[in-house]
Amino acid sequence: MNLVEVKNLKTYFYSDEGVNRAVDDVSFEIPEGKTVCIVGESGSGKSITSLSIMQLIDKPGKIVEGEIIFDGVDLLKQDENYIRGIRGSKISMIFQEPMTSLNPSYTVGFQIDEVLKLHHKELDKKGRYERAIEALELVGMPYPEEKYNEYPFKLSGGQRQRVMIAMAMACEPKLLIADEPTTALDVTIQAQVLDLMNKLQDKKGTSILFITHDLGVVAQMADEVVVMYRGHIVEKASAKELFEDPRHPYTKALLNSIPVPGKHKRKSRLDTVDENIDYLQFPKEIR
Amino acid sequence: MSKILFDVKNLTKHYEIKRGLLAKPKIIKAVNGIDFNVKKGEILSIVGESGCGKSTTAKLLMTIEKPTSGEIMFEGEDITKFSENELKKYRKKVQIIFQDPYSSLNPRWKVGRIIAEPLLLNSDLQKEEIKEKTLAIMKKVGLKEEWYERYPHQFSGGQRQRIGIARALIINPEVIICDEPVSALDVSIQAQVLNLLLDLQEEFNLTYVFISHDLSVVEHISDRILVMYFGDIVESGDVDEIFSNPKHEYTKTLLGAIPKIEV
Amino acid sequence: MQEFIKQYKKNKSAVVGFFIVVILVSMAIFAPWIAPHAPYDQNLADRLIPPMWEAGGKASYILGTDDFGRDLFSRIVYGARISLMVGAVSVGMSLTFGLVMGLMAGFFGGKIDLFIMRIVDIMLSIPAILLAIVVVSILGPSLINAMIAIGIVGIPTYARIVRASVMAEKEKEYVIASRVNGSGNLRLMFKVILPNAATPIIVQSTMGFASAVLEAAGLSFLGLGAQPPTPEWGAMLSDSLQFITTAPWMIFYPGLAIFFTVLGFNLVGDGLMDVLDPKLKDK
Repeated sequence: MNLVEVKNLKTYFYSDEGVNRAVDDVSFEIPEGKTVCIVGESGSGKSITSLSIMQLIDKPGKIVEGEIIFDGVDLLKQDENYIRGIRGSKISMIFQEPMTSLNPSYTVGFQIDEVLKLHHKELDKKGRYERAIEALELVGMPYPEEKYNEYPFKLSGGQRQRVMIAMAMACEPKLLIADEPTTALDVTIQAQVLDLMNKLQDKKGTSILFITHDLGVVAQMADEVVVMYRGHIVEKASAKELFEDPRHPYTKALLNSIPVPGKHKRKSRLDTVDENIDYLQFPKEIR
Repeated sequence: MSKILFDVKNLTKHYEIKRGLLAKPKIIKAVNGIDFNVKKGEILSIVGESGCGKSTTAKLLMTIEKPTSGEIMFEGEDITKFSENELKKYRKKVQIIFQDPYSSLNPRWKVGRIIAEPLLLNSDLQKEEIKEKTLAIMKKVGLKEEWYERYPHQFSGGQRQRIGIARALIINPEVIICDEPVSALDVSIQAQVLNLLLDLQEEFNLTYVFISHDLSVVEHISDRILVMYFGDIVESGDVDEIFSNPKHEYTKTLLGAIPKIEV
Repeated sequence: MQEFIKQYKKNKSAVVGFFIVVILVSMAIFAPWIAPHAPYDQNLADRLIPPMWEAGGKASYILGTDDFGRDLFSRIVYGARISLMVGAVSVGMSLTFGLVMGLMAGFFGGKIDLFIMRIVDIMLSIPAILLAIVVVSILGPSLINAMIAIGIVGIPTYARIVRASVMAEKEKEYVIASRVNGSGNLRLMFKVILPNAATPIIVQSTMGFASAVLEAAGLSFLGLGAQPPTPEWGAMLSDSLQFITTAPWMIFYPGLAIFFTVLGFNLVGDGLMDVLDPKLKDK
């Protein structure tokens, strides 16, 4: 069962210099309870895709065409109220920079409480507090009651990211969109956070849309993979298929340009993605 | 076998954070009495996570910071005690490439000027000769001659990094300290820059001290590795040894945390 | 440069401001050709004549005359020269001293920073007009002294702006790169950092020009700046107060001249701010 179906999405940005077709006819599905990774480099359109799903595209950008079917409803045809209703409760998002995504002027607890207030009006103050502590425990935050009263600057990068996840999971969303959530973290912390996300998925059945440029992270997280290049999907496959049998020249070039211990001869020259080739000339590999 | 270029003994760097008039200042031990050496022609990588002291070590080697104690012997002389003249000679031999391609180039200078700076400040060459050398080095790192008059903001991250490399190379150094030179770049550009660094090392017989947090990159290009954790070197050795047979707990954790591309 | 002009043109009011400034500068440069009369020429037979479109006006005196029979229009045109000079000299002075102070405070930090900023704080704690009056009282009332006073009063603003910019740039890697390559302190301050700290200074200078003109007018109005018969607009206002009901044109047109000058420079400053700032945020 597909939780999300994105069909022919086009998001363009307009400026004096012309039109930037950031997302140019993109279609993919996110099955319930599964993780889909969108991989690409800067300019591929992967972040804009996730922002489009959340309807967070502002001028000069515009969603020009397409359908985003979430739980049977086309989000692009709904009004602002509906979207606000599902943002944070049915679909949540976490970002790359935990330093700036948390408001430094309010305590952790206050911020989680805010999210709960918006989407769980049936809970009273005590109810929200308990839910917040539960959420912090869920993300493995040590001493959750103490952390509830802390300000973000007192927490480490990894802890802040956990808070972000706690806030995102507080309302038990069906879809969690994670835009490069571990890119700014140390590799050992990254491992912990990814592990946490997988566990949460097992426990709560949340679907995850994970945006990243790191193929190693994709290998660890993805059930399905979507490879984006200059606004288009050039390859779509299950994680297993992609790594065992990459088909599109861009995917192959990308995989070959990453040094993997044991794979390349030491100090050999890595293959690179050729800047002068337009990889869009090759047929898309959709499996 | 190889000549030892750097011999670092008991290198320590402590930072004092003042906390008001009456409170005792907090001491941050960025680098805690480390010993290591660098051999001519090798690529020595220093790996670790944030706060481990690898960047501080790079800065100490470059004399950007002064050590709290310890000595850094370069070709037999202690650079921490160098006079301005001796530092001038040192700079001709040891150069640096920075991490952030966006803040390491002066936004108001043209590319030619940025690259030529080491020569402008440290040599007696005429303008014409300097320009020649600049164009030559630009070609070597893959920058087009006509870009000489452009400004940094007109270039991509990978190209800016090449400009930084050209700047480090123009004075014909023996050693280049690479402070996370590819961390801020896209994966495919990363590969290009790594290839370039390897090519240059072969052609000019350079020695690299390569700072990074990315173990895959480090495994690919290094001869030897130092693993740092909270200001100490917890393990050091040949790259094969470290990867196949890590001894310290932290090294094992670090290696285990790399997301592997196997399904 | 082309890009700059294109961006600047987008802001309509900034373009208007630009034309006002151009008109002002042209008036100053071409004064002898534009003004029908000499600014100091008195013609007592033609005192207090209203502007030419009003009853009793004469074609030879477009905006009328003052109580000494001097042509108002000519005096306003020549006044442009004075206002421009005031703006240039005062801003030049504030900028020069403020720049050096800000550079040193921002670059060296520590005790030098503390010392310089305390001086700046002291200067800021005295109201500008009061300080200007004090300076002029000590030096004696004249246009030159008014310019010096205004120049001194403007120093703290530039010092602060420059200091903030320098502190922001100082830690960036390109500065470290230059330092590591052997650049001395002087070179670091002026050649490496300053070009990158220039934008806020440029914007402030344009707006500072406007305030300088206003302050000079104020001082002249109080009798502390330009002395009669100098055709400085503020002085002209002051001299004409007694005629406010009988010959209001004597106050209105110089006042209008001040208004447009200040407006013009402020609009240009705003426009520059919009164009120059985003370009710095390139990434």
